[in-house]
Amino acid sequence: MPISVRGLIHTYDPDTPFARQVLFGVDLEVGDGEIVGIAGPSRSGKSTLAQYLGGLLRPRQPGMVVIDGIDTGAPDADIAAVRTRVGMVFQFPEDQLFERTVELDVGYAPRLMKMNPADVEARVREALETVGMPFEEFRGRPVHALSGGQKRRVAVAGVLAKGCRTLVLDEPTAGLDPLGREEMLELVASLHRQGLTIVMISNQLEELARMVERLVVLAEGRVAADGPVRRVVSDAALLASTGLRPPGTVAAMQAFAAAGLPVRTDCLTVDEVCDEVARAAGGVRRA
Amino acid sequence: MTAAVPEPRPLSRQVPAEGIRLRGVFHTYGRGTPHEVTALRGVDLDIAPGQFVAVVGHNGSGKSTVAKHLNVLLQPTEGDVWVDGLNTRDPAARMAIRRRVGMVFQNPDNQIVGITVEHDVAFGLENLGLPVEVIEQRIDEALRLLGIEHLRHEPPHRLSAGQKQRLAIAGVVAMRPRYMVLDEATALLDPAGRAEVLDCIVRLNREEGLGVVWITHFMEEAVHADQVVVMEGGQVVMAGTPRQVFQQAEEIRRLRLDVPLVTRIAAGLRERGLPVPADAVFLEEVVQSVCRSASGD
Amino acid sequence: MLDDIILGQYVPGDSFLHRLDPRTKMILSALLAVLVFVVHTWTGYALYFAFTAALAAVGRIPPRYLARGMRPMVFFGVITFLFQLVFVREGRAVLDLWILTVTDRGVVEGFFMCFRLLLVVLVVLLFTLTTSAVELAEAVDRLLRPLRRVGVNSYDVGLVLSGAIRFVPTLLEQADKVKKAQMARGVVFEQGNLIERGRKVTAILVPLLLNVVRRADELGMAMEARCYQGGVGRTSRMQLRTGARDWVAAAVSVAWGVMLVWAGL
Repeated sequence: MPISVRGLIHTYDPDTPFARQVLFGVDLEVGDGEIVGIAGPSRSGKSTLAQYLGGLLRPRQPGMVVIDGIDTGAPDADIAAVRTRVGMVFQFPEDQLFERTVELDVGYAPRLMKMNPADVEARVREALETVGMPFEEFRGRPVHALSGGQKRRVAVAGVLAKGCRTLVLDEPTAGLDPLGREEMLELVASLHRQGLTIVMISNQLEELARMVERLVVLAEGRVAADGPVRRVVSDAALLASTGLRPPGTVAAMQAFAAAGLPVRTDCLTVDEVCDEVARAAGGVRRA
Repeated sequence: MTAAVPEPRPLSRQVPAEGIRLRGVFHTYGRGTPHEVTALRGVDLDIAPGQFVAVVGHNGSGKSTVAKHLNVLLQPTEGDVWVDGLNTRDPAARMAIRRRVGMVFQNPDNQIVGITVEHDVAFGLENLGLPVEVIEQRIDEALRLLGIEHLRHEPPHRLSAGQKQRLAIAGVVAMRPRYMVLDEATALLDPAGRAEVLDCIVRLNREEGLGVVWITHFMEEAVHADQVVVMEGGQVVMAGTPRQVFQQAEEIRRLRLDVPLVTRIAAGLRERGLPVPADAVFLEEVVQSVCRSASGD
Repeated sequence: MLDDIILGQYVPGDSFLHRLDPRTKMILSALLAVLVFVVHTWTGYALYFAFTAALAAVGRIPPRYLARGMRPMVFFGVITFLFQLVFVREGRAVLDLWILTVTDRGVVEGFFMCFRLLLVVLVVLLFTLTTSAVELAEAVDRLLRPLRRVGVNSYDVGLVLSGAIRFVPTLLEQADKVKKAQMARGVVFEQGNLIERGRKVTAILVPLLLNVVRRADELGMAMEARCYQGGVGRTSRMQLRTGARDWVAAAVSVAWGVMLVWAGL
């Protein structure tokens, strides 16, 4: 079990006039090789939870986070080991780039791990190829000359270069244009196919519905739902109470249903929508 | 589709509302340096007063460069831009143009100057040198229009992204511009925040007659527009009403933009033999036509 | 440590202190800060401290919060104390350690310097916690206006000041994010020799600097788009009014200061 969270609580600025509690007892299990989505409206606590999953925050209040068998709240926990096994990709990860060239930046983590130059190069090569950027073509490129989507993939490579097997991504497509967004989603899907455990955080159910099998909905610092993505995104009452917008296909089916057409609403692709509407319309006509 | 615009009178002042007009606009960044990039290659565009124009395109298509020409943050390298008959090359007209054309940018954090919501709205009004009583009244009005009165005394860092962007819009609306340019104003927001901001803008356009230039990556967001302009490689490659533009699915795919969901559903249903109009852009139209056929009319 | 920096964090409220004219507050805070260096007896410091504590109560600032804000200063207080211990030679020797001689005067001076430092910071905190940045900027603008004749644009000085305060939370947030992103790549900031640590700090500073430059660029453009052209032809919405409240505050502070000095405390 790569990640297990029990009764997690978090308060920002404790003991100040600005104290703000954002997590109120979160439970979550992520299995080996799974791809799990975490959705929630803004300020639902999902970015805070992500930092616990990446071993960057450690529980001090009651609550427990165990990553690859290491209890991160324990004072003697080997936190460096945790951070090697779990990679965390922050929102706008291109903000972390600081070296001159792509090769130097991606090689930062392996160099910190005191690998020898040949191994560093092998790691960098592997990480860059994984994110779809040929090593020979990009190694010498200055970071500032890359496009937005490329910078973001370099940043992901910089995290993968640690050799982690679990990846936590916080809003990986935020601010990208449709092209960059497609490339990023394709990258996440291919990482999952290569056997990495993936936790993808997003406020766009549209994207998550395409990417994940299991969806966790966080609302006001609590887990409001955890189940198969198809069921969760078509649960109108749940989404209404959390302020999340259903994927467009589900919203379309809800409109057909509201107009009196006897259809199911849990359609995730345009083809499913059309088949279902055509079936129902035909059925009504025959009847 | 576009209003008739009289012949431009270069460098004239004080002219009544006539819309925004771009003619043969080229723009080259870093001219004469090794980093020279030509972002616009002959753009013609007309925006009538009170019109809602959506400009859609990828990063690097030139859409943000167009936006910056509309309130003199950039000057054309070649060609002309007129705002209500004022030429943006005329230094004396610069402030008059900026009063007429408000700008809202992508990142709300980088356009909020004030330490609280009300002080931020006041910033632009103070720059205009308005009397204090007028400033107070305009602040009240703008906060009400954007639905953020209750946040009046909050510091910006305690607002959600959607609220911050509504504040940025309030700061511009309070200055009572005739046109508002929103440069990917929803790109950093979640879907709820995105809808929140788009709804506000559509309302301001319909009810207050504000001219809107809505710049976006997302074809879907163009559905409310009177005119859709698609840009690629520094040129306008498609233009028309949403119904005209959305129908050209092949061309949209070729430009690697998203075909709007409703258009895709309408096409899929037609393939399955349902009588859905080919130019449907709103979900309600599709639902109604399907239900009508199903009940056997 | 970053979390403890509360300088510039205005605590909204409508207490007596909050409602004072910021100019009054600024001048009185400056006077109080000077007064710290005049006081030179234990009773004097005790009275001075009691006065600031009373001010905090009047301003309804939670003592715990204030204490937290003082925490980063304790380190400097201790340094100051040790400095005085070592360098004050006058007085009777109370401790002889090889080349170091600690005198009774040194101990007392050490405490006094430490008190002075902490009390000055306390006064400054009380001022900033009860004065919004807008008021601060406006007060600076008004107080510096006479300098316009020698070419100082007092409005810009005020704007820079309030802008800096406006962006403190945003930049702290950004710094925290970059730091965590580098930690996620395996950086342990608490380890390594000086050169290695310096190198690690670059991993935060470079991205942060790039971010600040980009922000500044965009902010400048947004301000220009909102018709900003310096203080020229600009109205100021904030009407600073000096009222009875300000006279009371001034009278109390001055009377209290004169009393301390007159009593030779």
